[in-house]
Amino acid sequence: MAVLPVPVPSAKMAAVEKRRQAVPPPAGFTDSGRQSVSRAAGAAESEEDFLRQVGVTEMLRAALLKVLEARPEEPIAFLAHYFENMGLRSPVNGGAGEPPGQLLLQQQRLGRALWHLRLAHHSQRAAFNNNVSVAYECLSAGGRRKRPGLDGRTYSELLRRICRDGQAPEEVVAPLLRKVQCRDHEAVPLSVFRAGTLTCFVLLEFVARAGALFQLLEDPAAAVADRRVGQAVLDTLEGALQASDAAAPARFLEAGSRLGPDSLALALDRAVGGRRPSAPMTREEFLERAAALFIAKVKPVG
Amino acid sequence: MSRVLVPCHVKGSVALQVGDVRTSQGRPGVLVIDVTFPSVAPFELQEITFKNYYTAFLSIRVRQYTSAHTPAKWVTCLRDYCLMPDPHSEEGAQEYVSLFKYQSPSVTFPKWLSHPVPCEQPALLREGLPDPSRVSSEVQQMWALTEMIRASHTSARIGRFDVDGCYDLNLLSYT
Repeated sequence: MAVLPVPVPSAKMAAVEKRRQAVPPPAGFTDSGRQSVSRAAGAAESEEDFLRQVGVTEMLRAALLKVLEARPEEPIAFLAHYFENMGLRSPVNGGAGEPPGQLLLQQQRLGRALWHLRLAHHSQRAAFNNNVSVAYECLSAGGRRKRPGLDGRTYSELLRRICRDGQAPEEVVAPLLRKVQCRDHEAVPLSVFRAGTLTCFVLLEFVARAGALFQLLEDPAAAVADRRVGQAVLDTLEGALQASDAAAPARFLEAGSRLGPDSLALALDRAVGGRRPSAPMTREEFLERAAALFIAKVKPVG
Repeated sequence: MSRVLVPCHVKGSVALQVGDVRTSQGRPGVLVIDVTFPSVAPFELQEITFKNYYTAFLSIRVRQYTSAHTPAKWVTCLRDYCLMPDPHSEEGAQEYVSLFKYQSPSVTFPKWLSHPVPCEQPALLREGLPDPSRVSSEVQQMWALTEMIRASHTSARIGRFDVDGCYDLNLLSYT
């Protein structure tokens, strides 16, 4: 009776694959049975080799490392997207037919770069910077008909996509894009790329917070806010953002004092108590004005 | 006027901590020491003397019985009084401290710091205004994001030397 060796699984493999037990055959097999036994023995021995050869071991290891780095809230969905994207990276349709056109390649690169950029939140600065470098390399790679390096047109397109996918209204992000976009022909270095992408993601979060703020201020029935209230909040924020002559700690204390609940309550009270009549302010207008405060502090590229 | 020591009973310190004191691992930063006065006769407290042992800030609250009919209430006498200028240094760590009844801050504070004392009730908000603490939370986050971007400008330049409009064909010289 042949004793079939069981492949020794590594710790990592055990975590992601079911351990396969090779079943020893009962004694007294016929000839054909013996053949299948030897075939089964060979298969069991090379299971681990097989996985390693097709690159599954390495791929799963890379996937797990990515999960550890990104620490997503929904790891399964994250892994699903990861593997979906892996499909994009492999030769299109197994290389059948003519190679994909320049436009399709460009779109693929953009998609991949966007995916990398979204892996980590901008506050996880080390992971985010890592992903920025990978995305930059992905976009700068030379191709058959493409020179290496990132051109301004692709960079601007990427920034537009980031903002669009982040569901920020066009009018809100347009001023930012005007400030940080590059001209089509310009070569974009990594530092500019990093600053631009970071600014876009931070703006998206800023707009999300502004949206949440508007929800606090709005009249739920009318879906608009009292203009006096909205303007008072924006004015308070603008005041806190003014750079004073004091050094950083004092400036933060002053801002914190201005933006504290007591101070804001007074500002709101005063705004409504005045003799100006109430007028509506839409969400779009509020977001645009709030974003303008943010964008004013962004240094234009140059 | 002679000063008399008032007999008091100092209880052991209790940590102010969220969660189970026994099982949670963190070391709390705030400890409370209760001091009770077993003598019933009323007295006027003039001075408190003690030796510090690595406490940075001290607050003192006193429970006063004003009369037989009104319930006793807590009054803050001293709030975040600094005993150690730098909590990570030795200065003030093992000093003898005397606190007097009429202790008052001698530092002048800038105008924006002179808020009403927190235990005073703010004026009642009129109806229909949004919750100021939630508004404050959102606005503070927006401020923080903007400050972060303001601070993180890159020094790298893209090497743009042109002035706006200099590529305009009509401006190019033929010579």
